[in-house]
Amino acid sequence: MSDEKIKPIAIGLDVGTMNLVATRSDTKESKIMRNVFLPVTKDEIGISDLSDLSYIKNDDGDLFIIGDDAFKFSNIFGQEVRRPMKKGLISSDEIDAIEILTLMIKSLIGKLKAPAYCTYSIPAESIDSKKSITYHEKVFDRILSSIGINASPLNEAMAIIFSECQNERFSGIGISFGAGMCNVQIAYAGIETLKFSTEQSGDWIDKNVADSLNMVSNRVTNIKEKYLDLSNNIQEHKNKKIRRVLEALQYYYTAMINNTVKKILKEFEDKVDLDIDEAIPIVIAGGTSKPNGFLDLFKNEIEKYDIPFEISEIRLANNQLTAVSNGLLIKAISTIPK
Amino acid sequence: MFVYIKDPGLTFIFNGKEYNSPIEFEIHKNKIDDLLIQLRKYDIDNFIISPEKQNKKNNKKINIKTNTVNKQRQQNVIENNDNKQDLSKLENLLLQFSDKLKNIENKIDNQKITQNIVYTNDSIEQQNKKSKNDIDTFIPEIDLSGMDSEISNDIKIEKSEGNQENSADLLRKILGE
Repeated sequence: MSDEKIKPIAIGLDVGTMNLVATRSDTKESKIMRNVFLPVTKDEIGISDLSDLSYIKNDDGDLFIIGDDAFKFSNIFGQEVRRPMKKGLISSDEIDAIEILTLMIKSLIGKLKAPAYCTYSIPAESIDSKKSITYHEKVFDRILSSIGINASPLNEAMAIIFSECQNERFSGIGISFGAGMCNVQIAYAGIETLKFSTEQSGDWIDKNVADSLNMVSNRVTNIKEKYLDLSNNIQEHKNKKIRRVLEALQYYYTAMINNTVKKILKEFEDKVDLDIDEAIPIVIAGGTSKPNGFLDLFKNEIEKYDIPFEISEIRLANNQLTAVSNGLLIKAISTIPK
Repeated sequence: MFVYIKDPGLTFIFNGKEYNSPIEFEIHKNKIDDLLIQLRKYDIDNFIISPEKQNKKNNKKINIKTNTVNKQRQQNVIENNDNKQDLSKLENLLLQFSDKLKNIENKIDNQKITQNIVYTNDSIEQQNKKSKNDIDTFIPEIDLSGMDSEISNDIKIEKSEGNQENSADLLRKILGE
């Protein structure tokens, strides 16, 4: 029998409202999946063979199309996709949310041949709704435990600092512009100083644009992801309706950034009693920060305010979609006993 | 004889006494002529002289009204009785409810006492573990029986960047772990 010790596997799991991202220490890969589903009947989609689709089905005959396929079908049917999560937290509207999430996470993490330690993301409490995150945190603890993984939570904006601020010895401001929430973390030397979240982020933008133009939100999401370029003042798309959507998206992006900066300043003024001598960076991640021109728009807007600390740099994470999961992985590795 | 002057606001003096209408008064039949002369003098020509008192009718009307009021009062009494009965039913229900609440409160208090007795001998870690377990009991069990899935079609893969091991070492060092 071999004396070689089995090396544990560390996992960073970013549980986002729009995307689930898992990064494993043994594969050096990040796996990404849309955190959405669409309940359908086989008659509705007109096929008998599900081999090309991602799906979950149960004994009762319920069929759920999962991920990007759910988006495709919902846009064809003109329906809204369903979300296991809402505004950064497990959705109370979806009775099947926990089982669907469990199967998605199990599939995303893949097979494990060694003891696994996972750090999963949680949001900070929202200053808009003051909703508790305890239930959400415990549900994911249970989901991961049910598939045999040791789990511990970490604020998702703190994960950005672990992923992106090694050179600053883990000091900085991490902002995660996700779908359901915008999470902000101010950290100094690896210690959480101030964290909060707001509910004005990607979904808020999409919903307001959809309401303004009488559309379904996922159609707006689709246009946003395909065509939005915030560096253009006048959108040059030939299709008038798409042009209207892009124009509205720009207005709401600017409003969201302004709102976030104002809230950072207010929270800092109200709650932080810390003199930061060194200049610290602001690092931005999250799917909502993906459109081209987002960084410049953010810099232009923050310049309008008097910031009470010195900013060394405002930059995007190396990969805005996987930065949180990468930082969670770093934290998971650091907690495994050597 | 009875003299009844219905029109209001008329004033006259008869036998050295001032009368203000509407008014009904009794005089002796021998004085009727003197009264008629006096009323003519004050241009009062709308009056009734009768052996019967005119006010009886008024009194009757008043009585009718009184009867209506009495009926209303009786109705009110009936309704009040109904309300009282309803109130009494409500009171009974409230009392029952209050008793049930007391029972529940007692049960909760008993449970708290029991928990405190059990926890008193526990270490802080054990108490924290038990509190965590208390929260866990509210989270539904995950039942995947009978569920089938094919999800791998939809997973995108990106190469993860950076050296996470080095970053984790630095983090350990900074946090002094």
